[in-house]
Amino acid sequence: MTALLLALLFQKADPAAAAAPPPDPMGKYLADLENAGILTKGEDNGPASLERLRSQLAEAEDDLVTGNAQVASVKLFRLVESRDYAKFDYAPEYAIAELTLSRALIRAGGYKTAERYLLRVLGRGPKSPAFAPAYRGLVDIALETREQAAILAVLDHFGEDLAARGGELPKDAAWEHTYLAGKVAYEAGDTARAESLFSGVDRQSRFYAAALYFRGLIHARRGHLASARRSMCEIVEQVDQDRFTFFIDGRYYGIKDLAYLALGRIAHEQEKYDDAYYFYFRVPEDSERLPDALFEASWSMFQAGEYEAANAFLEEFDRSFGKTPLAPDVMLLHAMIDLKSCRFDEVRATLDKLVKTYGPIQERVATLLKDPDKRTAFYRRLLSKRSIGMPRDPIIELLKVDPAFYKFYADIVALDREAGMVPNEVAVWDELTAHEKGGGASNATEAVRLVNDVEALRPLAAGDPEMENRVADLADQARRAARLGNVGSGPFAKEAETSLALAGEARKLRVQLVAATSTIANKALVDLDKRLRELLRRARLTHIDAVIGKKKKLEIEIANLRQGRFPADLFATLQLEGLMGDDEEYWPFEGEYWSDEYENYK
Amino acid sequence: MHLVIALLTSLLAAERLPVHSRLAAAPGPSARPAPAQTADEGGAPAKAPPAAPPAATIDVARLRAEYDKLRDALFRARARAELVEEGVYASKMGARIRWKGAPDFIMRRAEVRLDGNSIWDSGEKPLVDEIIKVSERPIKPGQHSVTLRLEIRPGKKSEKEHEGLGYEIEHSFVVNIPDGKRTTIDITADDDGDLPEYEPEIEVEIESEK
Repeated sequence: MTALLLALLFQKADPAAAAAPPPDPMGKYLADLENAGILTKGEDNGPASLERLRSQLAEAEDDLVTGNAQVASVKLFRLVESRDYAKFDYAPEYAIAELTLSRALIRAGGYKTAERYLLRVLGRGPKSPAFAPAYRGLVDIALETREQAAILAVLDHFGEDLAARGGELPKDAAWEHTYLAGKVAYEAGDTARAESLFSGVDRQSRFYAAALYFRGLIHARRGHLASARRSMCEIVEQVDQDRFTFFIDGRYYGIKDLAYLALGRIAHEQEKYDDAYYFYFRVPEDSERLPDALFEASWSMFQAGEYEAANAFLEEFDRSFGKTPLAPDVMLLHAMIDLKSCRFDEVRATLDKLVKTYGPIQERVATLLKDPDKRTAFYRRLLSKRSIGMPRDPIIELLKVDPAFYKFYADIVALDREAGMVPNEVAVWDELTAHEKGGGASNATEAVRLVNDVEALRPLAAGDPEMENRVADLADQARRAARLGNVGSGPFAKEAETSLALAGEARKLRVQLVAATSTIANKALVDLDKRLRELLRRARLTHIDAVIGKKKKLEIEIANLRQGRFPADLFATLQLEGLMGDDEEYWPFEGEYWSDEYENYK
Repeated sequence: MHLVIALLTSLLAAERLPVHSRLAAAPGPSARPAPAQTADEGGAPAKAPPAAPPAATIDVARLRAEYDKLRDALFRARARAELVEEGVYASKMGARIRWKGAPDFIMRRAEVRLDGNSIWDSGEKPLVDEIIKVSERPIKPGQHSVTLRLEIRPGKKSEKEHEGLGYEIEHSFVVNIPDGKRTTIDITADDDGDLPEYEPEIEVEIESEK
């Protein structure tokens, strides 16, 4: 944060001030490599020119859009941190190169470095064509990394500095700032300030729909359901039929689905079940929210007494989402609809199935909660849930896991990937040292590859103690070989040491991330245990209701028979049986007349 | 009959949650308070839940900040190493992967690894292209292993019963990178199978030029 503010102080639009920013570590490093003549050896390294800057920028952009963010960022580092290209600092292409580098860094996970380059772009002033995208980039980093308050402080400082010099933020940047400030206020619990700020986000801002959604949430929290509904409706319906209503980006469709769901819930709360039906129905088929929408729509129809409609939603749910966390709730709702429709035998059959399916699962969950070892094995399965090769686990299908779990898991995977590349990086330094010394070629890269190959043997050797020992010995020898004879005494020793230290830090952080994911999974397991117990308890109650209901139905039928009133189904049968002769047969109506069977047809 | 329905209705009547908690947490019917205990329930009481594991608190913000800082440092270290590779190695290697099984089979995810390290990964986002380009990079001449990992799923127009089918394949190829040349590895993958049967096919062409 302090570093960012310092960087910003040097990024004033004043050209004199801009001329003396603190040297970027990567820039200094690049200068050292250029001085050592290392970076001039590649065959692609021609003299620096504006044409060359453009062509390199185009190549880097191509790399970025094809998913090669790392390659793109290395190319761009060589442009924006090179002394040779610094003379083109005035050119718009140079600013675009800085902006593209920050985009590549964001894509590769280097947020901190990206912030530095975005601030460099902002330092060029609001008239630069890259200013608005750079401002947006910083807001995106704030929202992605959750360092919203810290980045807002940096942007505030930038705004004050700009104002002091008589400058003004462009409208789009001002709306971005307002939205970010609103988000910070909302998360700090200052809903009054948040609402006022969100109201200031204009229709031409890409955050207009998100700001409306938050305004709706704030109204709902205060119990102002009509206002909440108005805000949500504005997101999903463009009443004025204008070609231009408000700006959107890729996030809009997710917000729109959430808005429909929220509208359905508000309507349900207001007992406007038909409205709720309409809003839930509008959640599109490809939405992640569809299972919730179907279940809640069914619940609304159930409350409205429209049991056929309620059943139709549940059948749709069963077809597509039978293996989701809501599945047991849906089964219970099926039984409740049957109960309301006096189909008591179906109720009992459904509930028997529910208890038979989810009773053992609840017992397994309880066992997992008691046994830490089994829990650890379970978390491993949970982490590989998305792999197609994993057999399905009914507990995993029922867990409602906090999205933070998958976020941390993605972090672990990314850390593993980065840390896994450290031996290769050290090998490069070793090769370079050997190269500079002019001795024979280093075998560092082969040694690293050998370490990887030997490590891949470990799973194959598992279970055979002799083979396990042999693989362990081989791995030790390979590591010793990879401990790099050249780099330790050469000019790049510090680089290699830094890389190795980072790998150690990555291992430590990994342990913390694994603990965090386990804590989240624990919570989900406890929650599942509670949910299943409650469901089974309610299933037992509904079962009792079905028994009482059936008994009561029979009592009423018997009383009616005593008084000579026949039930409809029995009445027709008895009437027909009384009229038919022994040689006659009765074909009951099956719900459709055919033209050749009905003489007055049409 | 009406009496029975009235009784059941009263049993099923649910209390309402405040709307903001519904908006935030999407509670369904099971989230509503349960009806009062009945005599029958007293006869078969639910067992007390087992002792939950101790709930540790996570400082998400701290972890996130540490992670971002470390990831950035790792990235910079790697970028520095990659910067010098160009000066050290005269050979270059790039790859193109083409999937020809669409529209019956589509690529859900793809990853390319060089000597065990991931150099291209589609990540969690669904793949929309059928051609993957792995940018050219400096590489030490000699033998290297290129691993291709693909997750294949039935296309969108496949029948409902085939939903959930698919497979993951991983192939590793040892390739020879000549000194001072640009090597392009062209991998073409296809599947002519008729679901639920599969017929995966992989072809690798390697071209090296000055």
